[in-house]
Amino acid sequence: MTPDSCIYALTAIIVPIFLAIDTYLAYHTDIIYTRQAIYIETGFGILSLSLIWSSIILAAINMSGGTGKIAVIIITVVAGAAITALLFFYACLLSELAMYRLHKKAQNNRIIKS
Amino acid sequence: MSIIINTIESILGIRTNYSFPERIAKGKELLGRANSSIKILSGTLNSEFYGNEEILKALRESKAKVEIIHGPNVEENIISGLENLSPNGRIKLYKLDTEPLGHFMVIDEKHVRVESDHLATEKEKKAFIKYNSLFLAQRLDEEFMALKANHEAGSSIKLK
Repeated sequence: MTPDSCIYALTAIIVPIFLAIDTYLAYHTDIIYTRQAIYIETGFGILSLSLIWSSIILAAINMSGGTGKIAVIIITVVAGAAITALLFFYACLLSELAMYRLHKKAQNNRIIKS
Repeated sequence: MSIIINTIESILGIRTNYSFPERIAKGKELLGRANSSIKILSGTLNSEFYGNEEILKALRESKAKVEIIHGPNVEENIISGLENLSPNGRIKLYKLDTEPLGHFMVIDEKHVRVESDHLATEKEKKAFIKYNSLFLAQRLDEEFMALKANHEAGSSIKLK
């Protein structure tokens, strides 16, 4: 296994795990905002983004055959920014869904009085 | 590290009541962001929060229109304290016949504070703040306006 394929493989394993953890936390509002959950999110988030950017850089270098430096930079920045933005958007959406679920739970729970 | 944690918290939302001072500080910060409107749905308007000088100061100094829908069992001094903040009618209170469920605060249709469920005898267990929400603030704003319209029409309260 080459170093490149190692990075690709790690990305393919770690990123879905991060997304799964993110989704799991969004369905458990009681724990999503604990410090521990935020540390896990932070750790996996940084790891995932690092792997994604590394994979994109490697893929861009391989695609350009090691010649076009500008092409590598453009592909890296555009693809990296797009995927990063998508991940942030997904995390924002999940957190709002979690809060909305909390609100609906409070509305449906008839014991609430104050 | 704290910058990273703050960034993650701003993405995920912020849990406000790790401690009482933090709850007040975050509440004050949220109210301070208001430019046009503050909409609050609450039950008894907890005196610790709505009677707190920092929160009252934030409401007094805000230029935003404040609308509060609350339940029937609110201490009179809390009501008068809020009404006296703005003699020109900038702050309006609407009293419901029954306790509203699912308490929240919407600021400028952009920022939200949502409480978890809790008993009448309890303070809120947890509350969460989300700045620049994607859809939640608008959704809760619509719920608030529907509740207010029902109240003004004199019809019974229908919660979605």
